[in-house]
Amino acid sequence: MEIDLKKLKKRDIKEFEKLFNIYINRVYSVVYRIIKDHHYSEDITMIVLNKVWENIIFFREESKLSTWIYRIAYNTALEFKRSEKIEFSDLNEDIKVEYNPVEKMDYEEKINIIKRELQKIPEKYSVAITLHYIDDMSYNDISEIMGIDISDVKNYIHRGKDMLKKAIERRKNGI
Amino acid sequence: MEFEEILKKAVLEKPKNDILFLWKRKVLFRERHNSSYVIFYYVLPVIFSLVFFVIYKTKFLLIPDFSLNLCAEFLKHLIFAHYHIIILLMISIYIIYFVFTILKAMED
Repeated sequence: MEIDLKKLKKRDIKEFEKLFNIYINRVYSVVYRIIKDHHYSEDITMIVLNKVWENIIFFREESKLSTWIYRIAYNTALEFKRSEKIEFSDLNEDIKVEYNPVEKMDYEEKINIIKRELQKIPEKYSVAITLHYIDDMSYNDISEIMGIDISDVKNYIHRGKDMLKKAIERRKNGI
Repeated sequence: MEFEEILKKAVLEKPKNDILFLWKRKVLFRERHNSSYVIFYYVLPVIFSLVFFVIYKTKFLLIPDFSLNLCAEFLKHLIFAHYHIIILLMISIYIIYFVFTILKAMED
């Protein structure tokens, strides 16, 4: 779906709807990795949409539009987390993993285990992994969004994936 | 390979509420209720209506030497001769505007 930046800068609400239809779940996913609470994440996603709506005229096209949006989402979520000192409530509520007694884990169960594990691994790892896999984002773009070196991005993704793989292995072995 | 596929699906979270709908409602509401909007569409027509009403009731114009100026003379004629039409026109525009606003709000 093509997004017309000129229309966005004129605050064409239909064009914004097209844009947000593409990014709303992705932005929400990034925010959720940091906030780890569905209700707060929804509120912050709303704030991010507002910021994009209000500041689109200042978007200088030096980076991709997606990078710009994710950077707003990342910074807004971090800012909120620092200021509010959120008590994380969703960790045990939302992701209900039904452990099968048999050795074979089905596809859905693995997804749920990874979702659960993404909540537990360090935030920077889970955010880097989310950005990388949600939008096939390059290391360069992720480093721009998170404000870190490319080598750090690679490191975070590699370590994070190792942790997730180990979690699945542990589950397979029934630990 | 399977792990990568699982990861792609696992990282995507979905909000429980329709955030896009909530955002749209909030933005449209705010756009309709910012100060310039309220002044332009709500306050100014009321002030103009009141001014015309005063002119209609008192038949008094505040401009000095009104008769010396041709343009002003024309305006004076227009206002005094057609004040009924002007007031009716303003009221009609006002009503049409309100109906339009309500219909648009319902559509949104």
